[in-house]
Amino acid sequence: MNRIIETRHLGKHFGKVAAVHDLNLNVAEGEIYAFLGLNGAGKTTSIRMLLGMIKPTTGSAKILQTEIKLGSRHPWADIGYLVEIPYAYPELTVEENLEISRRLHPGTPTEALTRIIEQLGLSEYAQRRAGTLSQGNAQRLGLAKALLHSPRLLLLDEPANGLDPAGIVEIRELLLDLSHNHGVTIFMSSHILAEVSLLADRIGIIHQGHLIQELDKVSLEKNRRKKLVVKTRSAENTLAVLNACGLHATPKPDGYFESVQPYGIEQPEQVAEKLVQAGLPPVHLMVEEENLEDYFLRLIGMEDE
Amino acid sequence: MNDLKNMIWVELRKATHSRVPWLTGLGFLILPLMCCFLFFIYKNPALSQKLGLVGTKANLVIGEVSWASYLKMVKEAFAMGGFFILCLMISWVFGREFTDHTVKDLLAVPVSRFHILAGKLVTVAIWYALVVAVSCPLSLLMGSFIQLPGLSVSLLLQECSIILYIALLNFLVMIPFAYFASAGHGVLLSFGIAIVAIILANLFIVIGYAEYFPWAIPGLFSQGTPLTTISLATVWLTSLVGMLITVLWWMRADQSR
Repeated sequence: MNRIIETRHLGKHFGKVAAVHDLNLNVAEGEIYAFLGLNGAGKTTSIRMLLGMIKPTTGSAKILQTEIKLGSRHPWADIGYLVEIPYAYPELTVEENLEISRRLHPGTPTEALTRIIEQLGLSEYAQRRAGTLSQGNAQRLGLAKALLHSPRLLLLDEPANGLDPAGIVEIRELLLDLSHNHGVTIFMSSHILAEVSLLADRIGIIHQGHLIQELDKVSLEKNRRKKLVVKTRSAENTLAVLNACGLHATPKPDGYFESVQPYGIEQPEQVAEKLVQAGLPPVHLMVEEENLEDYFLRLIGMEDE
Repeated sequence: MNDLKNMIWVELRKATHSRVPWLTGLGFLILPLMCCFLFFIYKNPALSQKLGLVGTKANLVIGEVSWASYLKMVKEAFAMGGFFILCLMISWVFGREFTDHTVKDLLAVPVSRFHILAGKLVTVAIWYALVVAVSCPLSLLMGSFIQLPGLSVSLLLQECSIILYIALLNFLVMIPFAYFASAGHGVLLSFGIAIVAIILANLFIVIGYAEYFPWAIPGLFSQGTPLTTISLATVWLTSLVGMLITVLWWMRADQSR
């Protein structure tokens, strides 16, 4: 499969601070790759390096088999991007801003304007000045500019920023459609973990400039911790029963108990039976899977903060 | 060529939809009005006395009431006014991409940065040409309103061509301000440099080295000092260096902000 993004030892230092360190990435055609990290982790710097906006201190990047060079006009014809907060010329209308984007991508047909305005739900605002748009609609305009010329690769920095819940769903469906039905490769950064888990085929976790883990959906599933969560009507006796089963349960607020022992996770029905036999029928007994947020925090060592 | 046309279209669209070019253009039109007003006061001693300080100013700057004297003042106004409005316009056209944060939309596009910059510079040139094209005849119209003596076709042609020449000199020496606005990520650095340049220009004129200082040359020329090979070379060199450093900066600078 074609490698659409390829970086080798890519790094950027601002003085003594390493914003990005030794980044080695491979993103395949049609993939949705999400870059996950806290604010200041190096996501935007990485995207800016991929877009040739800032010069890497070390390493190199290739996009669509083209070496990225500062100031080069290639390979941008096939790339759409949205970096951080989308800005537009405030005194121009939405349509005029898009027309400027169209002219910055020679060969984009005029009809693309109407299509993208409709696709991004901007018809109502087409004649409105960009400076008067809400944050959500400004975000839509930013996405419209990125998608206008039907790119093969989308580099999106926080694409769901400022969108309302309906907008987030709409954009998610649009991105999934572009990826699955049109073969568009999407490289996105986000800190909205729920969004990432719904969208991404592969996730790269970046922390303090280092790519600390890359995982696909299957390995994420494997790596997520599972735990048995139990609650009965009598907290005092429950702990004794659970520990007697070898579960080494930990009391949690509101009378809940948690255990990460394999026995409880693999055979929760046996635990339930033992609780019933002890006269403590469970009111809550569930094997819960660590969500992406907990997994992420555990990985970057912020679990207890 | 198509890319350049597109970029000129883009820049003209941005300029015509913004207030800044219109306001600065209108501001420039005040210059002939001001010259005309001073001559009008000078011609009317009673009014001159009534207006106090303005009257004194008019008496100080105007030696005689004639077309030659009026056009001399217009030329000086064009030299000084052109410097400031070109500084404002170039700084705005190049610096606004940073203040509006739209610069990132220009960096990863399949149009060369050279064309983007050329589009901006051509737009400033078109705009300035229009401002001069309106204000030059307006100056003549205002002069005819106050019925100045001594108008001849040869004087008119000679002085108008000097005004146009001053406009061209101003445009050429102001090109480095595109770099100042870009590197300064807005208009403030270039405004600061413009003020320093004016102070230094006066200093260079006083010490007799004005022909080596690009921003003194249009002013000096407007006062009747002929252009020398050195002063012309200074002007062209300034404009070429200005273009070069602007292009190089856009091609190579980190756009991390």
